[in-house]
Amino acid sequence: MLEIKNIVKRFRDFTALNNISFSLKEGELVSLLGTNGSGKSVSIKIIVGFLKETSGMIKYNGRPISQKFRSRVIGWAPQDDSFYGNLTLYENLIYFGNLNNVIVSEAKQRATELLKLLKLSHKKDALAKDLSGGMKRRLNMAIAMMHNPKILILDEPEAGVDPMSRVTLWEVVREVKKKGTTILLVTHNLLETENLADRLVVLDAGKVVFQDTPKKLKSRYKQRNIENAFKRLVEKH
Amino acid sequence: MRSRDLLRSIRLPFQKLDTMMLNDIRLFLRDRKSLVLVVLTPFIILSILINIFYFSNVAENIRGVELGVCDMDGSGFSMESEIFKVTRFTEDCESLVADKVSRGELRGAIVIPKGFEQDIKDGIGTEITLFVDNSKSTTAVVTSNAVKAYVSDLNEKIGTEFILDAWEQLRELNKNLKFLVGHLEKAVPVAENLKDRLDSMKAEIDSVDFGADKQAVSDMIAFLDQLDAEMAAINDTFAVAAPAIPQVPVFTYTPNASLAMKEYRTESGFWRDEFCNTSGLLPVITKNPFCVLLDNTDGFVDALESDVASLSAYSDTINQRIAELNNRSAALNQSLTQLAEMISSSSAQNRQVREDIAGVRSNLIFLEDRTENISRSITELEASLSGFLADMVRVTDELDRTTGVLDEYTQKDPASILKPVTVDTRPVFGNKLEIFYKLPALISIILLFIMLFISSSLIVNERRGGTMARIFLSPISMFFYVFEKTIYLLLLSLLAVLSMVAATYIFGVGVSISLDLFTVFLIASLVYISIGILVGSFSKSENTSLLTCLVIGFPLMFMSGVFSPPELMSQVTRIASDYLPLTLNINLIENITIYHTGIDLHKLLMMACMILVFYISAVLIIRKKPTLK
Repeated sequence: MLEIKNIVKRFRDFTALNNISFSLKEGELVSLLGTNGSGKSVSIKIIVGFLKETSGMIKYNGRPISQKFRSRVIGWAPQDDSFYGNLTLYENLIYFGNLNNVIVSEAKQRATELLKLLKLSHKKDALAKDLSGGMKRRLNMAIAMMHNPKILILDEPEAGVDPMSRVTLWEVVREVKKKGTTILLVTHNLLETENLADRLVVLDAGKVVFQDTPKKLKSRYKQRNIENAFKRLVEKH
Repeated sequence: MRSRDLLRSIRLPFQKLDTMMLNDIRLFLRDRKSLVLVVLTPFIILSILINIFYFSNVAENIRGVELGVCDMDGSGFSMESEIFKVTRFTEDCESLVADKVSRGELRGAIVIPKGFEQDIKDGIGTEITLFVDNSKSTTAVVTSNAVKAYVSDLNEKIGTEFILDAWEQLRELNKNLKFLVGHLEKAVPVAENLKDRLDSMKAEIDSVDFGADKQAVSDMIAFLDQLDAEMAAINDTFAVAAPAIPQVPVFTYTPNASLAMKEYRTESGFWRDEFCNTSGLLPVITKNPFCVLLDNTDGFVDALESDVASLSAYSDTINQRIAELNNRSAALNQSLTQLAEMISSSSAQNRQVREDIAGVRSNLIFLEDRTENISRSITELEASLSGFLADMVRVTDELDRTTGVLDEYTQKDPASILKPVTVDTRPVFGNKLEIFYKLPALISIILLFIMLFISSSLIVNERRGGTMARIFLSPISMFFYVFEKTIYLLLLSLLAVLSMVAATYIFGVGVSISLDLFTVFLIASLVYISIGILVGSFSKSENTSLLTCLVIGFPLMFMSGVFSPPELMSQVTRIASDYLPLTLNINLIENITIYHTGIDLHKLLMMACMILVFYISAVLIIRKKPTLK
């Protein structure tokens, strides 16, 4: 579905991504893992189109993806709040839906559905700034899903969220996955990833060092715990 | 289906614009900070500025400036006025007041030197020292100008007194000159008469012919020469003749002749009788020759006898005559002697006469010379007199003119001489308060800052909040996004302008918004919004953007010529300021509201170009980095 091929990104003398390649298949949840500075954020920014790759290519269904098309098929939920605090949840959703060519009537319906899906219906008319951290992450996710993208990119959705909200959040992700949305999840939560992810793509120092299922990762390093396997993987590289 | 899609594609941008606008307005209305910034801040700031600049005609409105007067002369020099609150100091207070000014206790101080009044009276001039706190430039200028005006008035007063005194003297002089002119006018005919008399005198002198006189003198001298010669001859003659003129002896008749004749007669008788008479011896033969001879001789003797008788008679007469002659000779001798003496003396006199005549001649020559000299002198005198007359006429005319001028001058007002040129300042736009002229500029400045802050903050917040990133990932183009933001910000700028216009009406200095003015505000707002968006596009935080706005706004404000005239700026700054958006904005507004020359399209075009440049730059930068995360 989405193919990241030989992407290189250089910032002057620094190579942030060094010829990385991985792909997302329809309906699967791929977790992009890596230590801080490994190149996860740069990879996401290139995929969503914030950054232009130095070389390489991103393909969607076998064809190079344009920015316009990218905005249609990709929904991006950044790790920070990316909505208007002074708008209600509903208003935020309608607004971003409209921006993404969702007509008002559709947007309203979709907003209601998403609020329900993300367990935010009771906060429909609350100002976004008044939401809790977990709710804000879910709102982020809802906004990213307003235009019903084929691929949803979740950038550390659990970051700064209390444990209770985190549970809810993962439940929501599962629900979304169930709906058939292809998800690229960037996270540091390996345990939750193990449960959710179909595949793992591990980056280290701008390179893809592992690309397979969590089980394979554990078996490669003969570890029961994925965190230990990941630790071994990183240490090896 | 196709037509529905087409219609949708046409409607979509408008729907998006509508949604985005509504969203922005909703956000704005829910954001008290923005509301305050856009509506209240311009109102408050302009209200404050109106009150500040309402009396900005400082020279007329400044009051209570702390001024020290250090009067070392005890002259009673007074600067009491509404402008100054005067503190007086005496004696050696110069350093004291200077110190007080330098410590900010006084805004200015005047030092009246010792001998101030006496120096003025003596006409040697004097100098007042003004210490001024130039850190407060406006007050310093007003103080300086007020003191200068006071000193100018004082100078005028002194000068007026001096001129009035001079006028009195000149009037007296004029009176004397007029008197002189009167006499000169009378002297002119006298001089002309004198000239006529000199003319006739010269004619008379010129008519004197010394030639005849000189000839006469020469003749006289020649005569005298001749006379001298003759006299000398006479003198010589006399000198010879005088002894030769003896006394003639008396002629005495001698009887011998008579006797001889008697004898003769006897003889002759004898002889006659003898020879010639018949009774004589010899017969008278017929008359013989003897007898004839005798007869003749007898006749001769008779004659002789008669002659003798006559001679005798003559002798007497002669004697008598001789006597007379002798007498006369004596007298002649005497006369001759006298004559000789006379000649002698005459010769001396003659010499004297000659000398006198020579003297006369030399006098005559001298006289002739003198006459010529006199004639020449008279000619010169005439020329001089003519010149003098002409001069006198000219002098009279000049004096006439001088007295006229003096009359004219002394009738003049000394004040108009001391200040012959006064400036009649006629404000071409009437005597409106300065705030009326400053107001559009102040509105523009506030608008500049408000729109810079709001625009840049909006963009920074969108970038920081990640909403811009979302928009970036939406099908909306950055140009469309910036366009929508511009429309929204334009609405805010309209609000800000309306808020400020309301403030102007509340404070009674209402600005009437015309279409031209609206157009200028619209374009200016677009420029400021575009600058704000550009600032927001590269600023990493709201603080950075606000600081950047200040960095941009302050130079624009101070180079706009509102607070300091462009004429005070350096050439480079002045040229640069002419192309700055705020300056262009203010100039355009001034053209409309003050000069009524309408919109300057050239400047409007320049601003439009700026908008374009700033927008393109902003979009390019935002596209490169739509988020700060």
